[in-house]
Amino acid sequence: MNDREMEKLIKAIDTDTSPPEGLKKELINKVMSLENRAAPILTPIEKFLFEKPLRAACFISLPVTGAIWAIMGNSFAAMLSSLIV
Amino acid sequence: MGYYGKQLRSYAKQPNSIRGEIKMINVLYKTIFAPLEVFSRQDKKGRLGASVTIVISTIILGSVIAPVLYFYASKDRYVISLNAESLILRTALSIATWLFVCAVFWLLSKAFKKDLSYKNIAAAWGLTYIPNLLTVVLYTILMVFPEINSGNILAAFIICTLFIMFLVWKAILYFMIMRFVIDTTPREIVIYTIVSAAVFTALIVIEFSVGIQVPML
Repeated sequence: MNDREMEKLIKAIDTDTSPPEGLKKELINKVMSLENRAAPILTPIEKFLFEKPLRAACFISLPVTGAIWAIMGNSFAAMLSSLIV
Repeated sequence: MGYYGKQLRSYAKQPNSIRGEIKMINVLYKTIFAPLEVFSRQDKKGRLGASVTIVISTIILGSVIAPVLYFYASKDRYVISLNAESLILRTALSIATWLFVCAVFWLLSKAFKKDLSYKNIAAAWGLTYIPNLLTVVLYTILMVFPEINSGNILAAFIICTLFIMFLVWKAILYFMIMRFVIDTTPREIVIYTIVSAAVFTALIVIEFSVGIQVPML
């Protein structure tokens, strides 16, 4: 490499470079979409059901059992017992 | 080195088999308490192992251990017999049911162009057997000790609540698979649910006919 080429190279290194138009925005959008995929956006009902399904099942099962019990009375327990051989 | 550093170092020292078990336990723990971390389209390490473990445990308990316990607990009260062929048939049918349901989900996912592997669906669906396992445990306890459920209204209410809770839990996990693993649209989820309902009903009838009382779905 002669002196002239060396000077050109140094100039090229010193020159400020900027990414092509729209590249930054595209990269940010890609990263955002990847993050959204990892942590999906949930509605309040989905949050209640899917974040802690065991807790949701507890909350749902109590009133459901109460309602069935209120309608069927002790016959519900009797029916359940009859199913268990 | 902090607490987590020490944990990491002790984890790294474990042999591979123990590390696999730790991963499986971690998956099972997350399935119960933080299922959003487990039910996703990405293949998670230890998920298939945990899934197979939970399915096989449920099937063995429901198809082999429960009838044997019931036989020994009731042989003095009733005239009953223990048929080894029936136990093998129940076990085989339960395993076939799990694989068949996964195949139905996989075929539907192919029909809707979801690009999902059979292994991924089998791993996710197997994890939903945790409520089944607990149902089988409760059912076995009630079979062996029927007096728990008779005469005490509070005990009967708690038992009924537990059965309904496991059912609701299973339903929630089903919809989590639809939403986060198969990634269905609302229209697709309706189609999935109609097909699943028909398939599940047919399988329950078949399972009942061979003596499986807690559906292995």
